[in-house]
Amino acid sequence: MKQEPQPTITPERGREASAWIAPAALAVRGDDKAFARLVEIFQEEIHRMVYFRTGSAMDAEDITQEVFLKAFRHIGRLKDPRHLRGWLYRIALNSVRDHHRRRRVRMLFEKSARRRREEAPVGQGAPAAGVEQILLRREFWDRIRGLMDRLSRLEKEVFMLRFFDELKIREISIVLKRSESTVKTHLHRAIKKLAGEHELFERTEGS
Amino acid sequence: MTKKGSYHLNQDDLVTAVVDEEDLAEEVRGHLATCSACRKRKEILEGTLTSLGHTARAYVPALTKTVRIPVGAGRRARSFLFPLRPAVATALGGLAVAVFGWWLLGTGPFPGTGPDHGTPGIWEDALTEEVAWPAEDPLPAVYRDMADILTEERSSGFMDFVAPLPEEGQGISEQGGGIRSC
Repeated sequence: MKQEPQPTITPERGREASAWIAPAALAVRGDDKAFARLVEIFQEEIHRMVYFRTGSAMDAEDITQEVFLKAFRHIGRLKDPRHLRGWLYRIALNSVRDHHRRRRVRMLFEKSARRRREEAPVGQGAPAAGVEQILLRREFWDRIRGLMDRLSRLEKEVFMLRFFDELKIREISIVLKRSESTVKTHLHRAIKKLAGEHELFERTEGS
Repeated sequence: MTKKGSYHLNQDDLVTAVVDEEDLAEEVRGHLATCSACRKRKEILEGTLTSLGHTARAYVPALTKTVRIPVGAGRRARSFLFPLRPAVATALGGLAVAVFGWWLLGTGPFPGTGPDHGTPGIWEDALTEEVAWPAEDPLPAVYRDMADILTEERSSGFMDFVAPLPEEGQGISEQGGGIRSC
């Protein structure tokens, strides 16, 4: 009997729910192979999400590993496989919070440790690039950091989940455990705040 | 906002359209569907935000080590009590309150439980005394003497004024029915 070849997984394909709902349902029932497939689909996405919030490639890799280990242990608790993506992001977000908490405690005891800005990555650990690229990258993250500083914690999180991590409103509401209308309100506020002092609207005016 | 093409979407509507077009008022949505200028503004704003995320994703280093689940990592199956968690927690909380209440009032279901109030007879006497004392004289001892003096002074003066004692030659006629001068 000829088996159908497994389709190649790309990050774009990974975002389509049809690619992961079936393996998610199997993984919930204890199928390890199905879980391995989920890891393939989501590892880059989760790593990216963690990197946005830690700014360190090494930390991002460690936390990503931790996220999938937690997910593997507790996937039996996932009630609806369709919520897997939001559920994974929630685990990742909690892991990032734990990481920052641990780091803060560690820094209290390490007086020599330099406090670095961690909200936005500065290109540390990024692939080898020319000086110009590094400067461009630094400039970009400085700009993002400047924008994010104007937002409240929740607004920032909603904005990043929507535009950096490309989550849908419903998925964001699962990650943050807030209603969809609350998510929309915070997203609306975030965009307005950013647009108020930014060129976002300048380009949309003049019609 | 709109008035048959003479006005266009304002900033608020534009942001709402980017967040979720379904949240726009029907009239505004109708305008957006037909007005190419407003649609373009919306697309530009959406594009700017999307490109921000796109650039951010491009600046993320590639994952150097793929995720591996250790062989020994065990799954934790969901406990059969998992769906009952709120009910179980409430029941346990209620039980704890009940046991504490029994202990506090000394009416526990088990003999010998509850705080020691001493021998019942002595305790009851002490309570009776404690309750009865303020009824007899609620003032503290310090003020009691002072109050006696004041009461005595005030009451004698007051009574002299209200009902002066009959002097000699004056008095209340037993027959006349009133005060009269003789």
